[in-house]
Amino acid sequence: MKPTDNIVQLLTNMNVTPDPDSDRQKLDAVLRAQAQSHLNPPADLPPNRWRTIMENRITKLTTAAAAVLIAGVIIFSLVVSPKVTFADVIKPLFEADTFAYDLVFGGEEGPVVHDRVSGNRIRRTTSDLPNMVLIIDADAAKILRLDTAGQAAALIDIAGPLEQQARHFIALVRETIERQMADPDFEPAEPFRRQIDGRKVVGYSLGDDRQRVTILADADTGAPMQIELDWGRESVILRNFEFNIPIPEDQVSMNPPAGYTMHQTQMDLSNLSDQDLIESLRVWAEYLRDGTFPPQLLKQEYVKQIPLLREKLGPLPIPDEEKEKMGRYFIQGMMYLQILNEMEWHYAGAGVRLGDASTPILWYRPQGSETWRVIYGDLRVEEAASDQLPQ
Amino acid sequence: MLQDKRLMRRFNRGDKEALRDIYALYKDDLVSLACALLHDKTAAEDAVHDVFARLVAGRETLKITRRLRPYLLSAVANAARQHHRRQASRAEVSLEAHGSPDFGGDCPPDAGALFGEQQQSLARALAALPYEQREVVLLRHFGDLKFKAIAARQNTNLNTVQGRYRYALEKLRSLLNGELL
Repeated sequence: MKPTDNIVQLLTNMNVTPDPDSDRQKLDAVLRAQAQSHLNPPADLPPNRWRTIMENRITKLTTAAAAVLIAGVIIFSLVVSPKVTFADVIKPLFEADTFAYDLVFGGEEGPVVHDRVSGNRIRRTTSDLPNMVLIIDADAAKILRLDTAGQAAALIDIAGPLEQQARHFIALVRETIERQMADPDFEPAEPFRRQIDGRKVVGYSLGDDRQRVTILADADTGAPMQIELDWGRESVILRNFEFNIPIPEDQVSMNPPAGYTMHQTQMDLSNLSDQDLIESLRVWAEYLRDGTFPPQLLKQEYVKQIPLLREKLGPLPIPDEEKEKMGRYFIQGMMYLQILNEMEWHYAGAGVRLGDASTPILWYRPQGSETWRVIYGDLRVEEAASDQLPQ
Repeated sequence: MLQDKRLMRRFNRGDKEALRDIYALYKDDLVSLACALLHDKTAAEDAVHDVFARLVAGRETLKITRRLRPYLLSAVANAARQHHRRQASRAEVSLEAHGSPDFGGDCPPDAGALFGEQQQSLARALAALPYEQREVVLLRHFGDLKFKAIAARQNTNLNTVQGRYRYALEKLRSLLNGELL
C-alpha cells in the first residue's frame, strides 16, 4: 500500500475519542434550543438571510464598497514602528517610473534574471545565458532577442494567449496587492519581523493559496528588500531593487543595435498548443533525462534546464536546424504551461519512460470542454470523460 | 438516503425525537471534523452546537433534499471556518515570543490528544497545515465532498482547491515521514 493510500484511509476514518458526558451535555443544549423554538418562534432571520442580502446587487455593491474602504483604512493605518507603514513599503512599487531588480525562479538554486524596466519595456538578462538579452515590449506583444556574441537579433511575436502575461513582475505585484485590497472579504494580516543578511526587515503577506505576495522591507526606511511571489505551483523571489534609475532609450529599443543581423526565427508564441508541450516533454526525456519524463511540470524547472539543453544539443551530430527546433519546442512548451495553468490539470509523469504506451502522464481539461485530454507515455493523446480519468 | 429523507420529513413536521436521532447518527462525525479543523475541543463543540442551533432555527423552512451527512459536515466546516477567521484576526504575532513569522503552521501541543492513538500523528500533522489546505483534505476524504463542492464552499476556483489538496498531501506525507508505514 502506498503511503498516500494510508493517509487517505486514516483521514476517512478519523474519529475523536468518545466522551459520553460531553455528548450528553451537547445533546441537552441542542434539545433545549429545540424546546425553546417550539415555545417561541425564532426572532432571527431565516438561515438564508445572508444569501438574500448578497443577492441584492445594490446591497452587495454598497457592502463591498464599504468593506474596501474599511480595509484600505485598516491597511494604511497599520504601523509596524513609528517610522515604517505599509503605505511606505508599497509606495515605490506603485510610483516609480523605472526600476531594476533581480529575480530568481523557484528558490535560491535557480539562475538569476535581471530586469530593467522603463514603462512597458523590459530589458532582461540571465546569469546562465550571458550572451543573450531580451527586450520585451508588452504593448506590442513582441520580444527582441539579441545574441551579443554573434551580433544576431530575432523578433518573436507573443500576441495571443500569452500577451496578457507579458508584463514585468512589479506589475504582477501591484495587481496582486490591488486585487487583494479590493476583495470585500480581505482581512489584512499582521506584519511580521525577520532578519535578512543581518538587517532587520518588516514583512507583509497578502493573498491566498492561488496567488500570494510577501514584501520584506527595511524596518527603518521601509525600502523594499525582497518580494516573494507565489502563484499556484510557481514561485519567484525579487530582490536588489533600484527605483527611478536612468534607463537610456536604446537600452530598451525594439530596434537591434547597429551591426546586428536580423534573423528570421520560427519561434511563434502567438499560436501555442498542447503539441508544443508534448514535444517539449519529448525533449526532456530524450536529451535532459535518462529517457524518463521530468519529476514536475513547472516553468521554473524548464528555466533551470535551458543552459543544460544548449550544452547537450551543441555537440550532437545533427543539423543546426534540428537543434534549433528542439530548443524552440522546449521554450514553446515552457510557455504553454502558462496556458495550461488556466485549466484543471494533473501531471503524473515522474519516472515514466518515454514510449510507455500504457501509463498516462498528464491529463487536463481545456476551458469550456466537457472532456479531458490524456497524454500517455508514448505521447499520444486521447480524449476521456471525467469518470474515465486515471485515479 | 432514504433514512435521511424520513428523518428530515419528521424534523420539518416538528417531531421532537427527530433531532435527537439526527444528533445521535451524526454527532461523532461532526465533532471529529470540527476537532480536526480547529484542534480545539471547546471550539469544535461550539461549532457543532451552532450547526444544530441553526438547524433548529430553520426547522420549518429548511429543506434538505440530499444526504444529511455531507450537508451537516459542510455546515460544520463553515462554522469552523468562521471561528478560525475570528481567531486569526485576534492572533498576536511577536518575533520576540516565537522567533519566526507565524503563518498558521504552528501545531498546538494537544492537537493529537483528541483522537485515538493511531490517528494522533495524523491529527498533529493536520494541525501543522495551513487552514485552507487542512479543510480541503478533510472535506475531500472525511466529508466525501467533490472538489467542485469544496471550491464553492471556500469561494475559490477548482484549480486552487486541487492545488491546496496536492500541497496538503505532500506536506502530510513529509511530516509523517514514514510513521504510518
